[in-house]
Amino acid sequence: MTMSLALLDLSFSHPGADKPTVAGLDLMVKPGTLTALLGPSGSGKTTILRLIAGLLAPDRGDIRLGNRSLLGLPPERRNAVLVFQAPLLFPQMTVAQNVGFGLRMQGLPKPVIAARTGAMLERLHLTGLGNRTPEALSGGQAQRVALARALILEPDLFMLDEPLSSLDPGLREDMQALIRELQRDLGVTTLVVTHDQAEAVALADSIAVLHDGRIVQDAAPETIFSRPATAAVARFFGGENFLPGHARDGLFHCEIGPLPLPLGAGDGPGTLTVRPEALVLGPGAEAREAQVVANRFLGLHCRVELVVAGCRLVALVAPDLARGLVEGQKIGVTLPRQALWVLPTDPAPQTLHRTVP
Amino acid sequence: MTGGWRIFGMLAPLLLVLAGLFGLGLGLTLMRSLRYLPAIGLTEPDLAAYRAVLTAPRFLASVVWSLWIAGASSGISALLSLGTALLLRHGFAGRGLLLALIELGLAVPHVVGALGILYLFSQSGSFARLAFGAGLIDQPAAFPALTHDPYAIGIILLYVWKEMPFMTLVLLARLKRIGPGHEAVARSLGATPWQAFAQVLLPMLLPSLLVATALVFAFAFGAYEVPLLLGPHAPEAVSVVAWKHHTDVDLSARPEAMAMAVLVFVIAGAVLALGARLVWRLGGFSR
Amino acid sequence: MPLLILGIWSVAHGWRFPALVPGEVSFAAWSYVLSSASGVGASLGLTLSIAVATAVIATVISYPAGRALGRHRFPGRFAVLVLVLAPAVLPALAVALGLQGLFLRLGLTGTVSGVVLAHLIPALPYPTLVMTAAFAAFEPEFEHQARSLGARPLQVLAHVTLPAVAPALRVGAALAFLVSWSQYLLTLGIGAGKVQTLPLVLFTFATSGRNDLTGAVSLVHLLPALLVVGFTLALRMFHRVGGGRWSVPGVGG
Repeated sequence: MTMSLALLDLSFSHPGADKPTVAGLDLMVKPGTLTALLGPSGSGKTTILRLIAGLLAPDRGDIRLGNRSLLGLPPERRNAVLVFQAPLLFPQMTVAQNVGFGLRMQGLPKPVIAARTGAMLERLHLTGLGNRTPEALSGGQAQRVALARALILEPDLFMLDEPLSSLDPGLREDMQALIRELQRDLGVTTLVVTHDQAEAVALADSIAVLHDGRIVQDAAPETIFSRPATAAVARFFGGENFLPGHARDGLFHCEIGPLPLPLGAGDGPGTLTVRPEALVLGPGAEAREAQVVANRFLGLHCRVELVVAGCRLVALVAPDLARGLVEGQKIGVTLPRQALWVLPTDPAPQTLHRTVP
Repeated sequence: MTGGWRIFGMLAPLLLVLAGLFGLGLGLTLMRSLRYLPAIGLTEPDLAAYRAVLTAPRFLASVVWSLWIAGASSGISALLSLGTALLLRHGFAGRGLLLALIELGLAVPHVVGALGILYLFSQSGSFARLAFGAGLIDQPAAFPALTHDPYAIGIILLYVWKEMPFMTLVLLARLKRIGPGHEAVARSLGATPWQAFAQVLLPMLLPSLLVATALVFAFAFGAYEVPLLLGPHAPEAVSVVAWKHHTDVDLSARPEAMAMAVLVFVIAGAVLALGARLVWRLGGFSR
Repeated sequence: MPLLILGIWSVAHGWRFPALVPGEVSFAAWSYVLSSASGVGASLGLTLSIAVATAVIATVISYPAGRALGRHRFPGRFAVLVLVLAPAVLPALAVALGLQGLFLRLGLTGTVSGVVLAHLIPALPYPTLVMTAAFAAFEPEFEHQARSLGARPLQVLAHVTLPAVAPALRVGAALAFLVSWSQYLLTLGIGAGKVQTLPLVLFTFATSGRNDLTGAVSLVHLLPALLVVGFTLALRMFHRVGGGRWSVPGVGG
């Protein structure tokens, strides 16, 4: 049976800290889905996991799995398994003994444990490694053993703390696919914590962006990209091009000029944003005149900086479209209507540190 | 989920035993040495015992003698262990066996070792007999007095035999921690092997060496059974003198014994504090 | 080498200067020593039980102490460490004299329990320091991971923590044993002559002039110590093959 996870008004301060690590945080994870909790290092993500796992007790708030509260339950009774950043395989046990650890603690009979261990090893492509000791494993193998050890318990909630940060890039993609596959097959409600937005986008059904102890936006990756909640969230995901201005009568007035507003947007001051990869370079019906300031080849795309009516815009364009663009050259740029998005005015502009795109 | 109280609880038995027994024992000794015994009516602490002790030539002589033993033992051990550690640093066949032997040697009680030295090096001991057989001497007394002698050669020999392996182990562990990287860098920057050793490795070893030397010094200074076994009639080691006073029929010698014990303690402590200060000055231990 | 000479003496008979090797080999010394008349056997048993008791108590105390010292940074930690180190490095004489008076008051002089208590003083530092190092190197997250996998606190202790620090426990116990085994002055002071441990007995023989008896008793005194250390070493060799690292670099909150 899959359960939902709900964090309600969760608050926690580390003793001796001057501001709370987690402050009145609300989060919902739908049953059977994977949510990525995304935030920069030190934003309290690991603390949240520990609170859910029962290794820390919150100052205030509730943690509900399904319809029961986890508060007051010791870690071993919560059926919410946390896999730490490092695999932490018990050195004196073999791989098989590690994987079967939780079942042994429950007191299940040996043949049952052996059967389930064998099945789990096979599922994670670890057959034949059952008798090895952790020292003899590669990084990827160790990580898979840690996953097996947790999933064999068929927990109600599965939590991962930065599962891929210690792996080589090549290995990372394989592991991402593996985690996705396992989560879908088993249908277990999963919460993954990471500081890498690319990893969050690859793994998650829903991304919860964490900042200053609160969730700033919780939505599917596509939504976060096209309709970010704040400028900080947008910047964190590689957004650029922020144009402050004023919306009135279906048009957004800013330095560039009036721009058509998305339907349903209200009047008032705000910031218009459009993603760099949405800008179209070249002649077009609604193209505006722009001057190229810089053009940089970045491999998968080119980063072209333009000036339009005194405003700086950044465009990410496919290399063959940007070939030959030189500084000072004049070119048309279109801001497609469906790619425009108005952000509410931030009461206090925040910057989230961004990982290099 | 640990609070301060839980930590205290974990430490409590340890503190109870150590602080309780050690502290109380020490405190009582101190009180007695100051002739402060409320139980039998002496409520005026005074330094009479200290004055008597510090002016007694017998005590002063034994202090000097004990210092000599401690200094020579720790110094020689330090030098020998340094050389040995450097030699053993790089693996060679049988290194593991040698290390195991050294560790086994640590298990030998001091008294046993002392007796062995006695039977080997005394004037009627095995080496003396060898000398006789070789025609070098014609009677036991002609063999140099290596035991029960005023230079404490036998005692020093024992301490070196026993403590040098310990210091070597300490240095080897430290050398392993340091690793060969630093000297390699020095050599690639143009240093000769000697310079790499003296300017790079030695300073890194010095804190461990100093600490180990200070430990051996403090131990040798306050030891009892070995000097008793291998030492001459006079001078005697400080602990021996103190104990003799303590078991003297004359009860008034008791406070003096206590004073001596306190002084021994203080001197040993001062040496260790000095060592600690030196290490701190040198910058402590690099991780 | 000195040990060899003791062995030879123990089987010598009438070995006078300047003979290089004993003229006669006899086991008379050994038969006396091993007989109940000499009191060596009884002393051996007594010393063993005292040393074992000291080792057990010291190890039990050193476990929580080492855990507190090795894992947490609390105010006064340095002071506690110095206190722990002190009895091991400073001469025991000063403590012994005062302690005698205290134990006299408590009626503990001349008793075995008094001697064990006294032996704890120089014996405690070593296992405590060893346990402190062991816990410092033991990544606490292992215990957390085990809890999250469904292990109750007692199970964590049995399956995770104890296996991790077991080598240190063994070494600490062995060290405490050795310290108690070789104690002389403390036993003399607190035991008041009634508690005759092997070092005391050995001394009596040594000053008696009977080198053969002394040689035999020395070896009796030596043997258990060697066995204890040898056993610990052997276990360590054995575990180097199967054990593992319990510290994880780069793991943080």
